[in-house]
Amino acid sequence: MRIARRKYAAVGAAAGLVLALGACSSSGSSGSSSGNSSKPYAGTTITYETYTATPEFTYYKSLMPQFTAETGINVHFVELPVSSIDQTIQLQLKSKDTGVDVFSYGTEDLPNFVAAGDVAPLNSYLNSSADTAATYNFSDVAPAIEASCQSGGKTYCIASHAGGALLYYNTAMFKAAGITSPPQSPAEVLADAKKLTTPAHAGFCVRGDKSQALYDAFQMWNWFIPYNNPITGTYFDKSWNFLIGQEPNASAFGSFYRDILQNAAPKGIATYLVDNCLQDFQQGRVAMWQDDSGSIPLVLDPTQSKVANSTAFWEVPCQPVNPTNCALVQPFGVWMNNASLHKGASWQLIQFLTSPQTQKGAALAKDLLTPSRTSVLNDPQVVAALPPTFDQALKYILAHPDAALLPGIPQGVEIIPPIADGLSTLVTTQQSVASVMATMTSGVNAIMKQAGYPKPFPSS
Amino acid sequence: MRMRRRRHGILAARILLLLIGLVLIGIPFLWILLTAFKYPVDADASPPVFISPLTLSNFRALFQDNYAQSLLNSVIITALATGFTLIVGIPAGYAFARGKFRGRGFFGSFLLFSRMVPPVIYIIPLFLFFHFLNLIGSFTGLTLAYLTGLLPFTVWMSASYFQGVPVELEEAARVDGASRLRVFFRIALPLALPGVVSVGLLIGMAAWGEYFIPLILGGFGTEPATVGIVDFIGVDGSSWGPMAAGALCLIVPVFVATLIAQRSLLEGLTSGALKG
Amino acid sequence: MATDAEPDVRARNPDVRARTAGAHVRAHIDRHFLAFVSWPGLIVMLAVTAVPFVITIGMGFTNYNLVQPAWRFIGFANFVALWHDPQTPRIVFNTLYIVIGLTVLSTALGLLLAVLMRTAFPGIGIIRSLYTLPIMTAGIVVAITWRAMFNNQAGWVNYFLGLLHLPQPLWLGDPHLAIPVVIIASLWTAVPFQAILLFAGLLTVPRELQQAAEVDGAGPVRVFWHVTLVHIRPVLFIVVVLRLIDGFRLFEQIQVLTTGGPGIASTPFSLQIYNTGLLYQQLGYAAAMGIVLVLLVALTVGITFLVLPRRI
Repeated sequence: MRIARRKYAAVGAAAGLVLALGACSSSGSSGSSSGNSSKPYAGTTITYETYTATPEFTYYKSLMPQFTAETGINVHFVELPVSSIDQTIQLQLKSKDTGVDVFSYGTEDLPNFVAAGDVAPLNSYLNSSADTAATYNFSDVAPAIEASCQSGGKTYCIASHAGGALLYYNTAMFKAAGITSPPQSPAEVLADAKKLTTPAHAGFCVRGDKSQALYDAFQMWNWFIPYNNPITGTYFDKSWNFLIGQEPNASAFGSFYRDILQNAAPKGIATYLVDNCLQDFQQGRVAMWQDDSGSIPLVLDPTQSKVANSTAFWEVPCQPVNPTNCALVQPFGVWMNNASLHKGASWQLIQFLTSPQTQKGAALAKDLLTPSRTSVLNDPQVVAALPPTFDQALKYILAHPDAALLPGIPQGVEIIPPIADGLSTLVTTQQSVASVMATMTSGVNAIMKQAGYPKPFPSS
Repeated sequence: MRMRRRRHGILAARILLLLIGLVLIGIPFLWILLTAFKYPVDADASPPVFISPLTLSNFRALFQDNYAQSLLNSVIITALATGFTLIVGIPAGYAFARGKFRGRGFFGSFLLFSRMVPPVIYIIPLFLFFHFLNLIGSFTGLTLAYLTGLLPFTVWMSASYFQGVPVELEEAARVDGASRLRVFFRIALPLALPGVVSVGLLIGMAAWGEYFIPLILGGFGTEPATVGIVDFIGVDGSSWGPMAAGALCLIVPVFVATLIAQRSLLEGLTSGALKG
Repeated sequence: MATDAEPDVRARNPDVRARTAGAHVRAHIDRHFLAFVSWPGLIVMLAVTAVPFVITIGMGFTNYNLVQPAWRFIGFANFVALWHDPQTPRIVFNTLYIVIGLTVLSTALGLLLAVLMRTAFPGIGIIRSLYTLPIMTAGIVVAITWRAMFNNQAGWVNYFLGLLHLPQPLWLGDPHLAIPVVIIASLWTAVPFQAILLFAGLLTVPRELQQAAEVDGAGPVRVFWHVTLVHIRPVLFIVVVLRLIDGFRLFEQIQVLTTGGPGIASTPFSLQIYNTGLLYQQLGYAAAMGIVLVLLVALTVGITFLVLPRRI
């Protein structure tokens, strides 16, 4: 009986523990603003969520004490691993969680965020001289990049970095193969890749895994598919025709993709994630690698990379089919949660993180390679700090940007599966290119039809 | 003479097999060990480079990322989850082994059913439900979530071990006037102890290594070390060195604890067998 | 799995009935003891899982999509779509291949290991502890380690195979090797796991039974097969069933190890549900897949219950 009573006591204690911990577990925002006019939000605490393992955000973290000293706002700086943040941000926004105020995230989900009312428009803050310092200079943020943060005439995020897809290549291997300059066209890319395929190393790497659908072929079909408009990029024209599936471009791209990945890429390319290409390049197992500029610090670090001194960067020039917008950019923005209870203080943080001073500091510290501000990009000190060939490539990218990583419609995410499946089939089977691209097209069209298309083309 | 030689031969064969198995088990650990103490440029080399400069930089990066806090969280969550699961699950297993009681059919089916549902399926409604109860990121929420995963296994396994305890012993004690509670604690539990301890160890290790649930339901400051490790998987590339270092930090304490517990465990296991 | 309820022995003993006050309560707890000790667990489980389960089942009949707030019930449309989906047969095949392959191999090898662990000699304790190391390693770490080991160019597996002049297959890239890779990496943890449970079971076999058989002239193999193995039937059965069920739950290990690829060569239901629900955000369709998966698991477990002996 004594034991039974102990059991009930344990249950009771557990219940009490549950209640107590439940009460203590509330995260994030608390506090109120004091009446100080120069620091109107002093005493407020806000929560900022961003990614781990990224030099840019680590740099921002180091600036937080300065921010608090200037504004009196405390920042709960939360870094989450990429596998967590991609889900939890969505869930938090959907459940109107007040526990996150500001967050960093890619701009490809803009249409969905806007449609669901998840993010707060920033125009009122930008236009108010009380909230925004004169030195902030919003128009300095490259318009082509900032456009991916804007919808229906409103601004929903401030782009903090442009990100760009480019070609990493090994200068020593090029020299050994007798190739004097980087490729000027996809045909040359293919030819060089085959020449560079030796027993010691493969010629070309790109993320081939099905789950990486956003980062592999998306960077290369811009050499074959025309760019139609800023909203749907190379995906659809204004009558909702799926451009990637239109012949003869579709087969031209498909054949190129299959040829290079089946004949000049590392074995097992169909399961390659960014880490696999990165490691192969760092260890000198592959001569060329097409990917986002974000991996550059990892490739230039001698404790991680054998090829730190023989790496150069290049942007394959635009081809006649798409002469002005062939360089894929993947802007990251700083956003404000629409459910935040501290929007004023949140704006101060967003302003701070994207200010000219912060960007210049991050660029000089080599933590931010693709700043979104034109003035920072053109600053001679920053130019001197960037790896030499990268500066050239970056200029070309920003002069020919395609910011439509996904089409700017709510169905953008939904059309990924048929595209990813088609790309994977191209690499893993010998099924005819034309039929694979046709299947891809019908898959995309079926999804669009189910969503009610054709619809009037969105205005911005 | 011949019998002794034959017995020695069998003994030698068994030891040899055990050692071969150990080598196979150990090779991946060697990889973790080497990767943790090398620079990434050497750890990823092909062909594998076994001798290269050693470094502690991976561990430095690990603890700069607040890994000590994550390890502490792992300890707390594992202790809470294992403790509560055992308290609730072992007696329930006994009940299942011993007889009919109200709700037995429903409880049994529900336990089995809930085990059959992979967390992937209900993790989003669970997130929303926990969010509604303000349990996201709290140790309470995590303990409850872990419990739902560990309880079915605990109940079913301990039930099978309790089944191995002869009912006659218990009935004899009951005739002598013992309450069912006393029978449980004085007879059933001690005799099934080897199994119960094994179950406890296994669910403890399962809780220690749980990854997906705290990834989604965990929060800022309460994430265990398994989630802390993947901090080093970035959008543009991963750092395997600190991850291996973190994995090592996850394994070593548990292994040392098992070695220490092995002594008392061993007595419990073998004495239980002898008594049987 | 159990015998009938015990007759109330205490009631027949007059001395017991004549205890002091408080006996009523104690007697009440005693009579319903089994219920008392099992209900707390049930209540906790229900409280936590009931709502999410119901919501998940409901979602399977809607077209709920995480990004768009508007949704509606669409009846069985998701299930029809799943039936017509050309990927579904491969997913089912993958799932069953992994589950059955892993269960059979891990239980057989685990039993062998459990028998070996009974060897009595100085140092066996250390060896037993060393064998538990894979279990102590978090699933995510196991997956990361084995992905590195199986790396086509730089992995240790191919390196050692090369040293032994054996062929070095394309582990991560050949669709036929994708599931064997998953099984091998999972066996590393599953075999010691099964071994520990079976070892504890082997310890409960009464010595007298084994000795009696030996006295009757049975050799060690026969003793094992007809006496030991029969006695641990309940444990063996549960070990197999739980391993089967766990096989269906394998998810993040496969995701890290092969990402379900190449293509969908190693994608079982659990990973497909994750991709559909969290990656492509079609939660309604993913929930429907989840319902089908649970039915598949139930079917497999049901068949096991019918086929495998579980009583001594």
